[in-house]
Amino acid sequence: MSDATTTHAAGHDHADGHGAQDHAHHDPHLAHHFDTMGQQMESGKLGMWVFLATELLMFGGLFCAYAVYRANHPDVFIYAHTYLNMTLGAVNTAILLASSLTMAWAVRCSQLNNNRGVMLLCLATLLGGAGFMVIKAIEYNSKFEHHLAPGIFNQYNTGYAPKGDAVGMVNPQGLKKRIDELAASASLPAKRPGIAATPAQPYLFLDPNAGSADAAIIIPHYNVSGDLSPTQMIATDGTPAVPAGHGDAHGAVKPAAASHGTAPPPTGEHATPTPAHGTAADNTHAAGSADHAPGGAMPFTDLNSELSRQRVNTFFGIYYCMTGLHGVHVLVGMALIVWIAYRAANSFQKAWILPLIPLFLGGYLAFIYSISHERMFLYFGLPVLAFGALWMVVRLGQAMTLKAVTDGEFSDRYFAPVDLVGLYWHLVDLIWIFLFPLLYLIHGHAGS
Amino acid sequence: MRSTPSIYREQIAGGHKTGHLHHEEHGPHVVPPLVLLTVFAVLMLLTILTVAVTQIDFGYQANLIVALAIAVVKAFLVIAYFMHLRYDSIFYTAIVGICIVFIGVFIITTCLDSGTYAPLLQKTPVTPAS
Repeated sequence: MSDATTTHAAGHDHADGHGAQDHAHHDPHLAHHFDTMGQQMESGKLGMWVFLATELLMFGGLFCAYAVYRANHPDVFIYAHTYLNMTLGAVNTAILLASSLTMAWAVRCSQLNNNRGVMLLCLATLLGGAGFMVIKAIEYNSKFEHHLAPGIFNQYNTGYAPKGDAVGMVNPQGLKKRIDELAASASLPAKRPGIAATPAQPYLFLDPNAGSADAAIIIPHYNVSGDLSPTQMIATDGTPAVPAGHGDAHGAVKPAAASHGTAPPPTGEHATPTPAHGTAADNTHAAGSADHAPGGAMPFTDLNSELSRQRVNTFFGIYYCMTGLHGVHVLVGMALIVWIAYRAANSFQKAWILPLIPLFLGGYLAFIYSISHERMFLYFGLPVLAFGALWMVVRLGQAMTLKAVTDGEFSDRYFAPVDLVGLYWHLVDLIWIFLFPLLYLIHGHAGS
Repeated sequence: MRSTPSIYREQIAGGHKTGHLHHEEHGPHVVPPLVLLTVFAVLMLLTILTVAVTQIDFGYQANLIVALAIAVVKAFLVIAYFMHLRYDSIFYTAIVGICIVFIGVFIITTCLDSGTYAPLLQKTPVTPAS
C-alpha cells in the first residue's frame, strides 16, 4: 500500500521513537496527511458534523415553510392532517428509534473489536430502515388512492388532472353529455368568490379493484361525482342521495379506501356546521377506525371557504416535500449501512451481503406493485429481484469454496466509518422525531 | 483496558502533535449498554406520551408547544447519547448549537414577517385567472 509507505517515511522524519507511535504509522487505514489515528478520527468527525449541520439547515427551510403555513392557516392543518394515519406514524417512530439503538450499539461493537457484532447490528438496523420504507409506501399509496398525490394529482388542486384514467375508453360525446348532466343537476354556482367560473377539468375514474362498470365521473373541486349510468348519480354536499352500495362520495371513488386505515374527512362542498355533516364525519371515522379522533372531536366544519379547500393541496405539498426528503435520507442511510456491514463482515459473510441490495430493492418495488397495482413497479422490480437472487446464489456458491476466513476491518483503532455512518442514521431519526408530531399530531380548535 | 479504544491511548502518547482537537486524559468512552437501553426506553415512553397527550385539547398553539417540547427532549437524548455528543469535544456541540440557533432565527423572522401581512391577505380573496 502506497499510503503505508508514505506514512512510514513520515514516521522516520518525526523520529518519536515510541512503540505505539510507530505502530500508528504502519496502520494501512492512516492517510498520509495525518499524524495519528486519533487525529484522523477527530478530523473526520469534524467534517461529518459540519455536513450534518448543513443537512439540518436544509430541513430547516422546509420546517420554516411548515411554520409559516401552519401559523397562518390553522383550519387547513386541523382538517388536512386527519388524512394522515397516526398509528402508522407512531409505529414508524418506534421503528426508527429501535434502529437508532442498534446502530449506536454497532458503534460500540466496533470500538470493542467485535466485527461480527457490527455486521449483525447493521443488518438489524437495515431491517428497521426497510420496515420504515414499507410503512411509508403503504401511507403514500393510501394518499394516492384518495387522490391526494402531489401537485396537480391532488384533488384539492384547482388544476386537478388525474393521471392514467382511461377517458378514451368511452364515447367522448357521451361523456361530455353526462358531465353536463351532472353539473346541471348539482346546480353548480356560476361564479363564486375565489374560484374560476368553470369547474376544474372533469375526469373519468376507473376503479382497478372493480369492473369497468364502476367507472365514475368526478368533477373535482365541486365534489360532484357520478357513475356512467344515468340512474346512478351522486351529488354529495354532505347529505347523500346515494344509491345502494355507495357509502359516500369517497366510497364511490374507491371502495377499498377504508381498508388502508386512513379515514378520509368528508369533503363536502358546503362544509357548514350542520348536524348532517357531523354525522358524515362520524361515519367515515367508524369506517377507518385506525384514525385517532373520536367522532365529532375534529372541527372539520372550520374548513368552510373555497380558499381553505384549495390550501389543503399546499398542506400535502409540504407533507410530501418533508417526508419525501426524509425518505431519501433513509434510503441513503441504508445504502451506507450496507457498506459498513460489508466492511465489518468476514470473507464468508462478504459474499452474501452485497446481493441484499438488489434483493431489497426488487422486493420493495414488488411490494409497491402489490399495494398500488402500478405495473411499472413490477416491470422494474421483478428483474432486480431476479438479479439479486441469482447474484446471491452465485456468491453463496463461491463462498462455499473459501478456505481462509479473514476478519472484518474495524477495530478499536479504526472505527470512524461506523461512527460517522451512525451519526448520519441518528440524524435521520432526529428529523423524524420532529416530523411525526408536526405532521401527524395536530390537535385543537382553530382560533382557541 | 478494553473500554477505552487504543486510538485514544495512542493519542495521549502522541498528543502534542494532534493540535487543538485532542481529547483530555480518558477520551470518549464506549457508551455502556445500560445507557443505550435506558435512553431507548425513555425515547419510547416519550413517543407514547406525545401520542397520548394529543388526545387532550389544550388548544391549537398549546398542543403544538407540548408536542415540540417532548420532541426537543427526545432530540436532546438522541444527540447526547446515541450521537455521543456528550462524551465528545465541546467543539462539535458548538457547531450543532450555532446551526440550531440560525435555524431558529430563520424560522422566527420569517414567521414574524409573514404574520405582519397575512391578516391583510386573509381579508381579500385571491381570484385565480378564469
